[in-house]
Amino acid sequence: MPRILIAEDELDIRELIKITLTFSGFEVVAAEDGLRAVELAADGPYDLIMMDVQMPHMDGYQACREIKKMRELRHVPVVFLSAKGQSSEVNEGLGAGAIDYMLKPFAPDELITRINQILENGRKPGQVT
Amino acid sequence: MAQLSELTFQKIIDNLPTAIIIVSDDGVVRLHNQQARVLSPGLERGSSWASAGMLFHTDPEINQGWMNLVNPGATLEADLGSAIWQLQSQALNLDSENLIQITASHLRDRTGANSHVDGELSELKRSRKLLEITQDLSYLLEEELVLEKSLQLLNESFQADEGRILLKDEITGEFVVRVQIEANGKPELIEKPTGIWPNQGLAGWVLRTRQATVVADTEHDKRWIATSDGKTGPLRVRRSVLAAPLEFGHEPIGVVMLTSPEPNRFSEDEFQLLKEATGLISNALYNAHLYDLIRNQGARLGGMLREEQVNAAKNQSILESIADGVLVADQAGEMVLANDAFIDIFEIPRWQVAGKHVSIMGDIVKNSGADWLNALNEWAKGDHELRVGAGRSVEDTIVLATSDRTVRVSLAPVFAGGQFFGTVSIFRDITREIEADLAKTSFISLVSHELRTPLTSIRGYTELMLMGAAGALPETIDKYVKIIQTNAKRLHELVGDILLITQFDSGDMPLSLLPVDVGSVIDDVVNNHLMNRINVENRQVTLSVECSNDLPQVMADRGRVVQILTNLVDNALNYTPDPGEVTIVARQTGSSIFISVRDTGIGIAPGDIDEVFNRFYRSEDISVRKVAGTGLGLSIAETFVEMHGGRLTVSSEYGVGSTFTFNLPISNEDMDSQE
Repeated sequence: MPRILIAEDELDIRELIKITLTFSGFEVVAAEDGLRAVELAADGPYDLIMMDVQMPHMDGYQACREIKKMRELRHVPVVFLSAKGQSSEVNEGLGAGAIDYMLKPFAPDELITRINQILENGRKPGQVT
Repeated sequence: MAQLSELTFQKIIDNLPTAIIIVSDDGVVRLHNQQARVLSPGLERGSSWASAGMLFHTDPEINQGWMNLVNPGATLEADLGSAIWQLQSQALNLDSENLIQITASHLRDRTGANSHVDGELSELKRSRKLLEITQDLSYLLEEELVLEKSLQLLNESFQADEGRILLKDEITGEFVVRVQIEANGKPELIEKPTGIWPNQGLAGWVLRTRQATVVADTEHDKRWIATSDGKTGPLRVRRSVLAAPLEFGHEPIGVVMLTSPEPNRFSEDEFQLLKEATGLISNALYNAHLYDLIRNQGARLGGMLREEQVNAAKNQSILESIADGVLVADQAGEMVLANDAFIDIFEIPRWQVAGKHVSIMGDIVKNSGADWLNALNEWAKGDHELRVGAGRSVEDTIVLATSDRTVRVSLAPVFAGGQFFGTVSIFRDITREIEADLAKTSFISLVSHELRTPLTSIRGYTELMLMGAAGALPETIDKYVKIIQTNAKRLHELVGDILLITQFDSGDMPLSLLPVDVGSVIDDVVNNHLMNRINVENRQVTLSVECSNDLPQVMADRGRVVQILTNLVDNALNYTPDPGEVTIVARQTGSSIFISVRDTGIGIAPGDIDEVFNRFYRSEDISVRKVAGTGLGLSIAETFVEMHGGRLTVSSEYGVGSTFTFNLPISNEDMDSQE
């Protein structure tokens, strides 16, 4: 069962993602901000990390960069799931080392499809979808 | 006498430290002095001179050339006036001094010869009179005053009953009485034609022969023609006449005539005095004539200069009062004008640019406004013929590092009559507009984000319920939740579209152009989107694609092309009732690939067809209103197409169907390989 770490400050959305992923057969660990996500990530292993961008204490970009700095975590694909969709914001996310940048609101089935695609493609950076 | 006066005049101007040249209106050099030859060695009498009229060099210290004296108008006029006045006085005084000397030597000779005392006395008296005339006339610079004073002085000297000065009319040649003295002894300026021409009468004889004459009795002189002073008045009795010609150089211009009703009124002495006095009067008239010429010329030049100064001042004040910054550079690239607004925008002292070459602007605008700087410097280089016509005006944006201002600049060359005069750059501070734009963009972006967060929960939990994450839903609840789901989607799309439009407006929509295979985009949209919709919505729509495999690739942003096509096929599906057809066609025409989406739907009413690309436009048509929509899809598709340099067009038959077509440019690699 693939293990996924999620980071999302909004309780409702954190629960929504957690339920969606759990319902689809993933094991989910949830963090409420970027700082906590970095801490939890170090305790891994995870097959994928999915983060919001705008979070207290440490935003998603910074958290992603911190994770990519850690040797044992560098290969773990990071995906942003954010309501911020301007090209500059997407580019900053990809520049921080994320493999994909998805927009809220999301359709649960599309979210699962994308996650499965990333996991199947292995852990090499691919085309942004 | 006039001949003598010209020689004297020459002598005087030769002795002056001032260089003088007198040019007649036809541009021929009439007179010049020694100093003039020093400054302009080739100068000769009779040679032609570039500018007609009279030119004086007033300052011997400068000695730079003639044109120096053409200073501000008022000064020029005054200089010329005083110069000629001074010259005339000197010339007349010298003439009279000569005469006195000659007379005095005659007197000595005669005294020595023990001659007739009466004659000597009368000769002395005559000389005194001449000196008096000279001194009186030397102050007069206007023709009328000279005429008036001359006749008055003559009349006093001769105790004549009447005197007249007749001048030949310059055009008709008829004698015209210009001044006359009658019984009351006061000169009267008039302009009275006599009806006598130079081939007639005593005046005509004097003029033709250029000789003075004395007539003892008109009744015995055939030259005399009696004239009446008024058409009906009686003939005046004029028995004695003294007459002498007035001349400019060798040209007779008129006659002085003194008359008396008594015969034998005038003596030989008086005849001699008149002959000499008319020489002086001629001289004074000639000087007055010259002065008049100079004054007119001076006034004309002065007037022209003043007019130019006024115009220049007017233009300057117009440019100064413009709210936009203005920088004017002349044809050599010297910055000749920078108005107050320019100084305010750039926050630099005026001396830093005024009179400097445009090349220094590079240091002022630093790493910004390269297009403008380039044009500014290129225009200052010359080769203007090469630039005439194409791409003259340049627009650019400058960001000033020192003040963080953003300045819009436009430069245009100034041509008049095919001649290049320089460039004008206009600057507008657009910092506020840009800030306002940024504020608007970030506000909408923030709002979109804030709308999306709750939408995420609404849509997500709805989907979860429909997925059965909370167990199977009773039929009614399932139906209601689906309604929530549909509307949440609609709201989501609306927020996305509004954000897109904001991005268009703020220019925050970069395209990443790469060669794209149109066939694969069509496959993508059909298989991943359109077929899903047809299946999920259980539609009876037949889909066909006409796209050959060997189409060249287009230069495009793949994601955006997917969006364009998705918007078009969604529309086709939305407005095509079951059973219907949707056809996608891609084919090459010229250097573009044209992609069409054709449907057998409700079509577009003729009144709506011009409006369908307008933002938020939705037809009033009931069959359109049945379908949920924001009125943004086509507008967004059109913008994306235009960003690629293509066009989105529509043709439709109401009730039959619509076809939307857009084109994308073929990538260069593919174009090259085709050639």
